[in-house]
Amino acid sequence: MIDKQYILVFFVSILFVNVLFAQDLDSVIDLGLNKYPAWKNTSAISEIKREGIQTNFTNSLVKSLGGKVHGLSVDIHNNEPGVKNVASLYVRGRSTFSSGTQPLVIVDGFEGFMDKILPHEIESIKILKDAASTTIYGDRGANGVILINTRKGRMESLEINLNIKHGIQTPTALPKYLGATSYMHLYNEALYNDGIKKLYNQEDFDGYENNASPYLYPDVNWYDVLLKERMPLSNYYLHFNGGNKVARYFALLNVLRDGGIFKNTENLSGTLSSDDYTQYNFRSNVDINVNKSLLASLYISGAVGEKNSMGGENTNSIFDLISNIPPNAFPVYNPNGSYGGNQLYVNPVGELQSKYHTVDDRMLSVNFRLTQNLGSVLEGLSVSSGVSFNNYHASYTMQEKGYRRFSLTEHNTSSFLYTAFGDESPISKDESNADRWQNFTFDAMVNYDRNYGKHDVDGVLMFKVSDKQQSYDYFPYRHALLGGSLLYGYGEKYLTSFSFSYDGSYEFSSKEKFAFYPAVSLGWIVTNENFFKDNNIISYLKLRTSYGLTGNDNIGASRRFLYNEFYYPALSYYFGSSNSSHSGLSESSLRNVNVTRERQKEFNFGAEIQLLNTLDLQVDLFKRKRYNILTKTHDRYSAYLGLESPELNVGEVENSGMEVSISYKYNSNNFSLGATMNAWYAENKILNNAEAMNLYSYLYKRGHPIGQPFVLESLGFFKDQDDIQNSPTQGFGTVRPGDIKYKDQNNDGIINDNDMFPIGLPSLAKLNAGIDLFIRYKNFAVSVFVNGVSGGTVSLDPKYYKAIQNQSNVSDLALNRWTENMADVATFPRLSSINNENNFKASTLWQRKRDFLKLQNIELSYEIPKRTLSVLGIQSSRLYVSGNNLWTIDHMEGLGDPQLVHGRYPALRSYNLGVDIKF
Amino acid sequence: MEYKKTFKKRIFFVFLSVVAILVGCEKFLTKDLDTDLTHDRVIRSYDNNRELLMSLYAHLTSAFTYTNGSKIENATDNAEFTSEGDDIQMFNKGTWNAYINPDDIWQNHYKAIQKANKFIQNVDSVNLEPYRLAQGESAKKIYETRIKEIRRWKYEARFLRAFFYFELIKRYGGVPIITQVFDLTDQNIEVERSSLKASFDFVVDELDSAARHLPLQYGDNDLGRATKGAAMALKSKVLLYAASDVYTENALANTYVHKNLISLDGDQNQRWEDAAESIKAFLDSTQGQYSLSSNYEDLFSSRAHLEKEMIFVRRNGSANNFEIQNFPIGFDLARGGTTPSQNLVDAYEMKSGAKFSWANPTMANRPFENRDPRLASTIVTNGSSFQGRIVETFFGGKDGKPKVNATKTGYYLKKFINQNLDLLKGDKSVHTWVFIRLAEIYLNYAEALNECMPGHPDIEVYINKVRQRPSVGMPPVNISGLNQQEVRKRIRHERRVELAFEGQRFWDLRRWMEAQEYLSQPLEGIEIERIGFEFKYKVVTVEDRIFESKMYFYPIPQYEINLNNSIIQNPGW
Repeated sequence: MIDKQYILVFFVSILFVNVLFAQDLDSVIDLGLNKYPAWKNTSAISEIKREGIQTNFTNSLVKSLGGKVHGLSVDIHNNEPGVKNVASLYVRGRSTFSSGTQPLVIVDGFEGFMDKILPHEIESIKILKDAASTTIYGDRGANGVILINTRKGRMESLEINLNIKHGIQTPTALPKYLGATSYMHLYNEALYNDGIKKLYNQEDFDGYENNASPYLYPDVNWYDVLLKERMPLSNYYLHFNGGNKVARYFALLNVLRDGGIFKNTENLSGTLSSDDYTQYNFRSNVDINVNKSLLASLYISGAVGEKNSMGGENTNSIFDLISNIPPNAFPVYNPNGSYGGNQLYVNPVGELQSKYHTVDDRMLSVNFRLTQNLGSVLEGLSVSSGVSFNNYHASYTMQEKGYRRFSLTEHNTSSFLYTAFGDESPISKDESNADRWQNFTFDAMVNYDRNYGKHDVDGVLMFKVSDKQQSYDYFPYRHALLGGSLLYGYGEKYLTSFSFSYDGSYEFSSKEKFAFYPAVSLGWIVTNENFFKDNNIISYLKLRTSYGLTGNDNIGASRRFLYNEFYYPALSYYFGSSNSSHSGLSESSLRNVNVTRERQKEFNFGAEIQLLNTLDLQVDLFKRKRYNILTKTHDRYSAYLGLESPELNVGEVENSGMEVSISYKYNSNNFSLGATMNAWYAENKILNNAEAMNLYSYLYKRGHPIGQPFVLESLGFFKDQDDIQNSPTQGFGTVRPGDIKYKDQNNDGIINDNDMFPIGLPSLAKLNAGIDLFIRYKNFAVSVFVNGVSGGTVSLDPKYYKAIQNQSNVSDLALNRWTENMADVATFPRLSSINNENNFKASTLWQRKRDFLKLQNIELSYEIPKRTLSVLGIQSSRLYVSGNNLWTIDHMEGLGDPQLVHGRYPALRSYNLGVDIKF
Repeated sequence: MEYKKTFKKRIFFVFLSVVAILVGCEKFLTKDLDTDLTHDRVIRSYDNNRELLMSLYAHLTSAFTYTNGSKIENATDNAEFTSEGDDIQMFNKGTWNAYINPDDIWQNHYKAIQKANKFIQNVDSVNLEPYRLAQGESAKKIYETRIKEIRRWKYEARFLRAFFYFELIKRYGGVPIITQVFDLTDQNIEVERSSLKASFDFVVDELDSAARHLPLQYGDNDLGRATKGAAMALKSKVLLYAASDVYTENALANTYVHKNLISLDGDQNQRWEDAAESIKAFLDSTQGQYSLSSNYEDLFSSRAHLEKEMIFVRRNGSANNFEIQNFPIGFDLARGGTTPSQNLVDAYEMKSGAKFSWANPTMANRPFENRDPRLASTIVTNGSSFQGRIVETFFGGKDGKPKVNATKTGYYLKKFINQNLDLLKGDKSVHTWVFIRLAEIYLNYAEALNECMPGHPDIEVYINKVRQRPSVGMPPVNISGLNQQEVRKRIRHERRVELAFEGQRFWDLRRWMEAQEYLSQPLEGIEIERIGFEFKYKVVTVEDRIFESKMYFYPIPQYEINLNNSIIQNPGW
């Protein structure tokens, strides 16, 4: 493992140095990287404080970040509480087509884990974007860095803060499936279209008309049956904050509870339950001045999560089921109380009641740091060393039993015939699955910060090792990094800085083990020039620029350690009179001893402007080129060499864009106003991906942004047989009038996958924007947050449009289907009961613009006047109501949230009530 | 002063620690344990080498649902594939080319060849020292058997490599002959296509040496490995191909600058003699090894791998995807895949040996009765029994139009299909794909003799051996009084019927230079109308087909041409 003796050496030396140099000093320097005053900054950094994120009441921090900080795009793909991988985060959009796009997350100076952190334990979040700020993170800087600082104790007497918040959540939209009679009409029409005789006759329709029997004529809306109308969300916390010159502390206890989406129902052990998620957090951040020059910081935090889930390990299987079962398939329960069901479909209630999964996870994080001020030796000098230990463990319990479902037929007027499907089986329990990782970081640094008259010098030299081990991966992930930066300022006008890192990664062969990353930046505070001093309009103007090299060792290789050969069991064969199988051995692509990290060159130009002392403006322009992207090459080795396409570091992506932030603040006794507008734009282009040769030039991904959709272009629907005769042949089965007619992009007379044309945009939007508004009048305050994106394309999930295919449900999109009479206004192809490959290919018909503008959050609050409560010892108290995700303008035609169009756990709207009391 | 000195000392101490840590980093950042199978470890291991050879066998095309197996029949006048969107239709529509070819085996076969080269180069590195040095009889015995085994493995691999090359030559003509091992530094290596003669010579030489070293037969556990017989049979087949018309100077070759890539100089008759001689050599040296199966259908059953008629086969595990693809559409899960054509059905003789004719009312009224028994063994016809029910391919029938994916020809495939499988239950069975069986060798022999020694008495003998297999029992052919051309027709007919759906016709038509005649004919099917208990039959065109003379050879894939200036494209592409 880690060479522990080295760490010991460091701690001992720091203590030793302390004993030797303990001196009376007035101030304690609080160290951390980039802890410069703002004016010294020469790189592109955006920041958000706690106040900016805590109004949005959700069950996860990342869900509150979308649109809040410029340069950080949040692509939420799973809204279910308590699941991993809720969202993908991108700093300055995508710059690589490999899978390693994640920014580095640093919590209190150490690599951390963002999923379980709560908004109100955060002091600030900084996004480091350009090379000057990220180069010091070595092999993990290129995707940007998210720096999270948690709250520290204040040097004041104890303040206790109690906060209670309750909310009610409802889905903003769910796929809309037709009721039984509409479904049956459409089904008959589909059969008719296929030349097959009707399935439902008048008698069936009469049965529904007369409400004859809910069992023989079921009409089930499974969303109504299964989903809660209102899902509770609540959060309670208690903070303790205070301290003095010797010790300061911030402590927190928090309980978050998300009540789940399914109605309470009897689970398989016979108790009423729902799918729910509860998370307990604690934190204790303590800073102690051991003596006048030594600061010890011990930050301990933890989270315990308990996720209960019915019907499967998450809600996906139930949502998928709902989107398939036709409304008239079977009743929820049969007359004798048994589950309805048929051969094709299981009963969703039966599923909920016979599968019960729990995930218990815990996370513990301990950071300890010693900081020694060496001002007595050399003014401005200090050394610091820290260790961090993060540990995560999740255990999965799965309880399931088999159950029977019955399909019903009428025997005579008073009794039914039951046909059973599925088998009863006793409860089986599996607790064998677990998931864990732990990560250990050690660092040591020397800081120097000094001002000599007009000269300002800030320097840091840092050494850091980190080690991460995780289950299912035999080998650790390790880094050893030496990094530093030196900033020199002259007269508070001219700034220049140089930073570097020399990082070693476990991932590469000894030849490529280490990499060097340098960056330089310049800044000019124009308003500090004499010729600008008397300016009344522009109160502050700084121009800055940076250029440098960063890296990413998360290269998305098909396997780790590509520099070694790799043989794996594959391709078995059969010998002998009994034809028995003999395992084979296959070699994967040849070893590539040169495999290395992605590198990125980035240029940034920024300006920070303040007008009239009130209006702040920050603009950044960037252009970066990621190269050495590992990609499977299809364009260089002759096939007759017989090699598996090797993975080489030859991919290149260019990405450029800008970020703008404007903020305004006004404050008086009775009235405050604050407004911030953030907007950022990033557009990338693949320059080289070594893709295989294509027959048509438009089929190349090269030259397009990452994730460019390639789809068939719909030209509407075939009018009649003549239209089909006169159009190119469509190669996806026989077409009939009403089927989608596609454009023959290559004019070869045949429509096939070669006609997939680059149309639309990647799903990650190019433009993101957010507007925050805060108004306070006396004791009343309002805050509003509006978020919007533009320049992205959504491809609908087939759940929304696969009508009747494989005996499935029909959504209301199909109401506007093609029929001979409706041919001119139809927006949906003709119905077909047979699998119709032609109509459900990826095409422009199923694309929508992702653009939206969302009223993400409004909060109204009232500060109860102090004197009313002071008798109770209450310092201050605040009541508030808020609403999340209240209103959206988009192109989804009511289908669902443009961020979550998979037809599974839906986007939610919530209304909340809270009280905040400080003692 | 004292104070500063100590400080400097301490700083120096800290500095030393930094240096120490940086030095320690290299180790900290390096995998301390190699769990992976490295190249060195693999080549020294007996077990790993055995497994590598196994995966080489697995590179033999698994045939059943693949284009380069059973499906290729749909690109001949024997069948039509039901799905219009399937790649195989490109052959019939003439839309395939250097960019897109449903049977582009180039890349895949060269991968197999590279594997074989690597295996052949390294197999001698197997470390048997522990056995050699160990005391005791048993260790010694293991040592000796393994030494022998390893030598044999090498020739099995050379046999397989020759097999892969023959597959390439069939398609592309002369190809780059590669026997060396490459690595990533070989990016810029350019190899030219060998001449057709050199390519054939290489394969023949390799098979000769394999035949010298491979055993005639294996023990029970190793049945299915390449034998001496397989090597000799494959060699004779290669020579038969080399003697065929397509490789002789012809219009296609004569207008092509690089004609040595697709044609052979010299005396074609001599080549036929070489082919006949090598078949004779095979028959003589494998006497008692192989015999015709008495039941034709056994050759395509789940026990086919045990049949003594098999010379070299592709073995497979239990599966049912072939059945799912090809069961008559009225059966659950069936998709309607390869459907035999009327062209083929008409080719089957009457039981009496007479030709079938729609002009004959007795025959036309009951077209599937009194036919060569191989018809019923190969093809599911309307009214025949399948899985215990009568198959209805007539219009409106359970297996007929207008059902989606119903047969367009009026027939379904029977050969190789295990009709006892219940697909809903997920039943599976073993399928064995035939590369070479004795009946083919007999027909090859008849063909070669007829070309170089017309009238040779063995011609008749070997055709009739095939026709008079007990379960077939067709009347013997008498060639006296027939001229060479007529006998040729009889042999080609016999071959079409006997070997239908075994992946032969696609190549036979090409090597006989008959593809342009047969593959541009319209593909026919039958429309059956039920009137009461009677059926009315009407032969209809299912598809018009396109074959151009350039298609005798496949185009070299464009991706290869683009990467290499040295690779020459075939004529017309």
